[in-house]
Amino acid sequence: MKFDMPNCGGCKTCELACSFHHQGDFSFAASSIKIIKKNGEAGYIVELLEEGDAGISCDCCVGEEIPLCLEHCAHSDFLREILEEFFSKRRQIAE
Amino acid sequence: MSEHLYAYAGKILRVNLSNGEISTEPTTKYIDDWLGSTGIAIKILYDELQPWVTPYDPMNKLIFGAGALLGTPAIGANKMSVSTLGPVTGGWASGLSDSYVGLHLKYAGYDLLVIEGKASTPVYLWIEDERIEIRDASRLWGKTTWDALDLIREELNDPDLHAVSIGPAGENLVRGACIIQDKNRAFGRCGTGAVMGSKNLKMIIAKGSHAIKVAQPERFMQAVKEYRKLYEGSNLGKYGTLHCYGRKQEISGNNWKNFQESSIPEELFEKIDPRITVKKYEIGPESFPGCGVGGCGRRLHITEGPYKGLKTTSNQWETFSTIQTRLAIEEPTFMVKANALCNQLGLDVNLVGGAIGWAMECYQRGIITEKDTGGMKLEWGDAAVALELAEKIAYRKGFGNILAEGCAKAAQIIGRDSDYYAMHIKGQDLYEVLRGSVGWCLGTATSTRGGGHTTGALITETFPNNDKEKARKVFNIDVDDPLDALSYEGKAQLVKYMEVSHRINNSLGICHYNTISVDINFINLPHIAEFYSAAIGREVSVDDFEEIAMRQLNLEKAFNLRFTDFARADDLPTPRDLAEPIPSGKLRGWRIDRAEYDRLLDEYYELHGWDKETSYPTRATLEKLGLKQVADDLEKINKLGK
Ligand code: SF4
Ligand code: SF4
Ligand code: SF4
Repeated sequence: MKFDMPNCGGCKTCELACSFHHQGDFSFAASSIKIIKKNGEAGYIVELLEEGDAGISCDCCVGEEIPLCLEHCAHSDFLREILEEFFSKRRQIAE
Repeated sequence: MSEHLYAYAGKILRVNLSNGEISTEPTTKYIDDWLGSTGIAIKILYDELQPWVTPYDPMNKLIFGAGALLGTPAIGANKMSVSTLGPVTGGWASGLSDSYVGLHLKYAGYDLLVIEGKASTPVYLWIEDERIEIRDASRLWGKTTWDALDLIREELNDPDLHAVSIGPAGENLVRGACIIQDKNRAFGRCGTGAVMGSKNLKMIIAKGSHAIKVAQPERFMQAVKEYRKLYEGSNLGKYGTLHCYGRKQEISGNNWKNFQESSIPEELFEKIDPRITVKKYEIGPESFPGCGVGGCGRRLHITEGPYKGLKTTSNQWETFSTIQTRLAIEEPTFMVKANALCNQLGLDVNLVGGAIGWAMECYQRGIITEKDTGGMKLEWGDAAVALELAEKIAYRKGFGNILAEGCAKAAQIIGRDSDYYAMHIKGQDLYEVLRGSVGWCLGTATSTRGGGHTTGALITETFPNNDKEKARKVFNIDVDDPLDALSYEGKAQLVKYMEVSHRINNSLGICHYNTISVDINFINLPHIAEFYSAAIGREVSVDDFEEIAMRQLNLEKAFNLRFTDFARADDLPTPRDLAEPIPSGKLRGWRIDRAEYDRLLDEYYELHGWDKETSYPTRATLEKLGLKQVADDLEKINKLGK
């Protein structure tokens, strides 16, 4: 699922935090959050991987107090909204 | 002890462009003594370059180093370095940049990349995990860094590829050519781009799919989380490095008309305030992995004026100061245009500002005339002329061919006593305003890379809102106000402290702008020791860091002694800084006191265990650091300190 995040700085710290959640180490490859460049416009696209996407899908950070991607984001207000929307959609699908 | 090497990728990759040989060796043997990145690079350069090698010789080596903490979310850990024998000073050359290529290099399995030899035709290097290929780059040659990256992304249908590349300046062996990360970040100074050009290497692309592990993950992540709190409420990200504008005016740290004046004329201060420019044209932040301040880059879209339509992230203070105000250019958006152009051409902003600033001052004084310039009038404030000259420098056309040598060598070519107006340290164009900030001045003038404020200068002196009580604690120094920019007291000790801090940052890949370099409340050596110890699973203390950093510094120094004639006189500020008081502004009349400065330099050498007369390291100092062989080498060339 893709979201527009106009104030994302594209630092990918969230990707490193996410790979840590899944595997206990750091890589871009094992992240369920992908930061994708936009063409010239401000911000980045935030993609959260789901079943069926290539890669490890986001498990809504089960077992963590705060989602790790969010915890390490320096522009977290927007990311929080994105995660809330994503999590609630996931819940709807699950129900 | 476990066999696994944590935090590091574990290998050094060597690529020989002359014969196509590719090999690897373990990083392990270098780690304890040299730490990583810049530290390992100077060791390799010192050991492997024969003393008769010259910068553009295929025997020279170009070494990229991903900081030891790269690939982890440690605060500010995203810097890759490049080191070589440089064409500007003729000695140690080094530059760093935020770099996704650095992260990918580590994820591909390599801590450093050593480029050797010279390709017979233009090539680029492809690094994808174990797959290393030297590929044809003839269609990229001649292109700007922006066009070359667009072309390769399109060809390979991968819009997220990251690359470091050179532009026309590097191809044309402009002495101050630099290497550009993607489009908007530069491995500044020292002419490393020209060395890359001399090897016919246009670009390096890295893609890594492996992971980096730390030894004590919980402790490590706990430290990251806790230290992130130090940045809450900081506004250093808001304008990035332009944040220092007001403070610079207060301490007479602004460059106006090639350092003739140290402040922006009051009537222009607001008009060209670069923070206002950023506020007006900002469309979003631009940041890099781990950055504590949320990114110092600002994406700008210029919607009016002569550069209307330009979209770029170029809001670096250094460009504003070293080109725009040095050349007295009043158009507020000029800094954005100039920075973008330099990045496209692969030009160091300080060489551009330094050479053109020197030329404009010589023109003002009638030393250079239109006969020299091919008919160009070099009036202060002429933005179009500045941009035209930057292009001419990159392509070595007309008068640009002389300016491409940098101000020090250009002054030698022109003669006519023009060297007094060539503002440089050890032959490298200067950006730092030295009068009015003593610790900043000492750190810059003594720097082994030839000026620059990232290997020892007390940057904190020049940044706003730093508290003296806190500074006393952080620097562990007993003087009244360690950040009093006009005081000589304690400055030798503080510069030594910063030499350690900067070298540890550079070796681990941590951004100075995320540390006490700019804000006394940010992370410092003890925090970084905690990151590093948790990452590698062995306790490394601040004292260990100090020893490693001093070993590095002494080797940089010895490397310079081998390849250059540098001595005590080369650790002085420029002749103008010593001869003229500050002519106007808040510090009008203040001057560097030559006797005080000499006393400070004595104190500085003494603290380092270097000979006061020559600046050379002594045998005792070198041997204490485990550098006996280096002492023997220096003795042979008569450059061992007494
Ligand atoms: S919430 Fe999802 S994307 Fe974010 S860190 Fe957790 S698993 Fe990764
Ligand atoms: S979402 Fe946050 S952490 Fe991720 S890239 Fe954007 S700014 Fe950085
Ligand atoms: S402050 Fe700027 S240079 Fe430093 S890590 Fe952040 S984005 Fe990079």
